[in-house]
Parts: sequence; structure tokens; C-alpha cells
Amino acid sequence: MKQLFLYKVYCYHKKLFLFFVIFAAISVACNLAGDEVTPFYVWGMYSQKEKAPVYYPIYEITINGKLVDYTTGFFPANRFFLQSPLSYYLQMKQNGDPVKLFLQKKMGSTYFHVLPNESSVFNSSQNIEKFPNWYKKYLEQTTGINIETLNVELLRGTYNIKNRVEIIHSDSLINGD
Amino acid sequence: MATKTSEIYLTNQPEHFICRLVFSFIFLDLIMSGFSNTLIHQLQSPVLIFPYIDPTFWIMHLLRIPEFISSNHLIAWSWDFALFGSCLGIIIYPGKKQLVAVFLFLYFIYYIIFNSFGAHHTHSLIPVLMAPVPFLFSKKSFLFCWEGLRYFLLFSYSAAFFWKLLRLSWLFKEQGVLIMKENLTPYLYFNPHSFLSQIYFYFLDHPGLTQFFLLSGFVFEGIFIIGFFTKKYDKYLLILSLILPFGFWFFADAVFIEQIILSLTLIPIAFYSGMENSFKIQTGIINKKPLSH
Repeated sequence: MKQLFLYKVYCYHKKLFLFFVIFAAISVACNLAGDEVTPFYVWGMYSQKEKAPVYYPIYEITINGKLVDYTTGFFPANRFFLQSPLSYYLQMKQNGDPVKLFLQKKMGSTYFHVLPNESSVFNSSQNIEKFPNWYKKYLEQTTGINIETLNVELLRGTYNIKNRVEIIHSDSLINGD
Repeated sequence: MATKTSEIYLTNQPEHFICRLVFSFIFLDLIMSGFSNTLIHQLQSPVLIFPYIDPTFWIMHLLRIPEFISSNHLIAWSWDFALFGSCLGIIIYPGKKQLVAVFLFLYFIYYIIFNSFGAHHTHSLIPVLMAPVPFLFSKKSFLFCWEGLRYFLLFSYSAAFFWKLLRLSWLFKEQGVLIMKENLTPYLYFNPHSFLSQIYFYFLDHPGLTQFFLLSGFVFEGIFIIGFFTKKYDKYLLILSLILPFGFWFFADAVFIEQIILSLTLIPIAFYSGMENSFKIQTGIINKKPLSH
């Protein structure tokens, strides 16, 4: 008992002990909640059972007629910022703000509590419309190229029998010609 | 605090040495953010937000703080400048708790901006938010907080183990291959002939091998539970804590390099004292003194 970390903290400083206990309690509670109400406490690290998707999205970015391979030559965080907002934009173009849809489904009739704050926590159609222009500016920042034309295609990839990537379909996501 | 060693008489302040070490790592990480074009002024006033269902993000967006900072070029520049400045200030003056508090505040906002405008709540920046906390405390409290941080590291890996265990994903034979495909398909499409792609394709062609590595990672995470009961195996946990981020990078293209900051808690405090002393001797800050009996 006397060797326990929390016991030693308790003997040394009651407030510090309380700080640790509250932190631990919130950590356990957030994990028991089962959803990521805050990423601060929940560490899943690829624990969800993976599902084979119908297709794997690949974004083909073309600047001034030249293809940009964002998968190499960029730092990981840069790659993240080039891909993740683009996927989010795609979801919004297809079905609207996914967070809003998620909450509407989860909260049902109590969703009206969120209504007064919708404009602050969800993406408006004006913001969605602004995305291609922002993406162009961010690409200019990232590549150092003055962009005159920007095209982003969504390629739908699958794996063939030899485990190689094949494109089965493509759609235009951003067309800045 | 005066400490006797076999040959030298020293004044030990390992927390300052550890503070410098931690913030040097953070400083390098910030420089990497600059090269990654993810500092606030480099984000070009992003437009899409992703607060998800996290109350912290909701409050920040309700107050319009991320939008205000990121959309104003001068403020964004100043914020980044202050972030670098406070980090550098702590490296120079490791005892200044106010500087640590300022850094934490600035970095917390950066963390919100990065995750919300990045449209995904990543875990990679959390160690940078957690690691400075012990330096807000005084000497003895610091030691407890530093040890608390060690438990936080143990918790993060143990929680990952339990999530996998309870979700039964470790029993799913295709888990490893599907994680690879989900994260690496664009790379394999654009670079099918690179050396790295050949390795990846080998793993995709041998799902059993991929699953073996995934299960090894799962077991490695579980081993961290031991750390809650004893510090005897910390050196092994330290090695595992360095291997696991490499595994996340290789199989999932997820870079958790910041997690290594927390790995520093697995090194005994005495080791830092020794390092600090030898550094001071080598740089001539202190001289060897014979012990007086």
C-alpha cells in the first residue's frame, strides 16, 4: 500500500492527489463512454474492426496541367493537411456536414438544443463553397507554385487479384480551369 | 540539493535538464511543423471546421477563437512567433514556470486549430500538450507529476490494448492488411515501383505476416500494463515505446513521433542527473572536487 504511487502523492500533497484522481477518473469515464467525446483521454489506435470499403479514395491533384504526387516529398503533417480536409470536403459535397448528420441521428427530437449554435459549430454552405479557393491557396503555400489551373479528381481505387491498385471510376472534385 | 558521487560534488537540478530536453524536442517538432506548412500563418485562413462531438472544440468554436486567430494574418504570425519564442525561452530559462504556462496556452490553441481545420482529431500532438505540465510544479511535486506522466504513457498504450481486446479486432484476420490498404493506397497508386512499395506489396501478398506484426504490436501494447506494477522493466518498455511509433508509421502512415517525448518518463531520474553532471563537467560549468570525509 505504502509503495502505491497515489498513496505517496496523497501523503505528500492532498490537492495534487485530487488532481491525479480526477484526471484518472475522467480518463476511465471517457473510455467507458465508448465514443471519442474528447481525444485527450481515449486512445484507440486502430482498434476498430476494419471493413473492406467498396473503393479506396485517391485524390489526383493537377496543378497547371502537372500532376502533384503528395504522397512523397512532403512531411507527414503536410500530407495530412493536403488529404484530410479534401476527404471532409468530399463528404460534405455528397451528404452535407457529417457531424451535423451524426448529431441529428444521435439526438433525435432533442436536436433542437443545438439549433441556436449551428452556425458556430457546423460548416455553412458558404464555407463549403469557399473550400476550393482555400485549397488552391494552401497548395500554393505548400508547393511554392503560382497556380493558374487546379484540378482535383477523385479516383476510386480497388485492389485486383494480384493486390495491385486499379482505378474503377473517377469524378471531378475541384475543377479550376 | 548537494549530491555525493564517487569523485564529484555537484548541485543537482535534474528537472531543469529534463525541461531543456523536452522543450528541445518540442522546438524541433515546431520547426518540423514549419517545414510541414502547418503553422497557423501557413494555413492560409482555412474554412472548414471539424469540432466533431468534442466539447473542448465546441467551446472554442462557439467563442470563435480558432477562426479569429487563423483568419487574421498578423495575429497568426504573432501566435507562431510567440510559440517559438516561449519554447526557446524555456530552453534558455528552464525554471520559469510562467513561460511554461504561456507555452501551454499557445500550444493548446494551436492544437485546436490543427485538429479542427485538419478535419481529423489526431493524437499526435497530445504528448506536446501533456509533457510540459510537470514543469509547472515545484521541485518535489515535479517528481510526482513526472511519474504521473509515466503512468499516462502506460495508460495510452494499455488503453489501446484493451480497446483492441474488447472490440475483438485482433481476431479479425484481415485487420492488418485492411489498415495498410486504408492508409497506403494513394502511395501505392502513385509509386507502384518504389522500393518501399515493393515491401508493402510483399506484406499485402502475405497477409499472415502482416497479421503477425499487427498482433505483435497488440501484445507490445499489452506489455505496458506491467509498468503499472513495477518499474523494473522500464528499459524494455522504453524500447517498445520506440518500436511502436515506427510500426504505426510503417503499417498505417501515422506518425506518432511526438509520443517519444512521453517515453522520456521511462528513463530513471538518476540517469538524467548523471547526464546533467557529465554535461556540466565537460562544458566546464563545474569542476571536479574531491570528497571531504
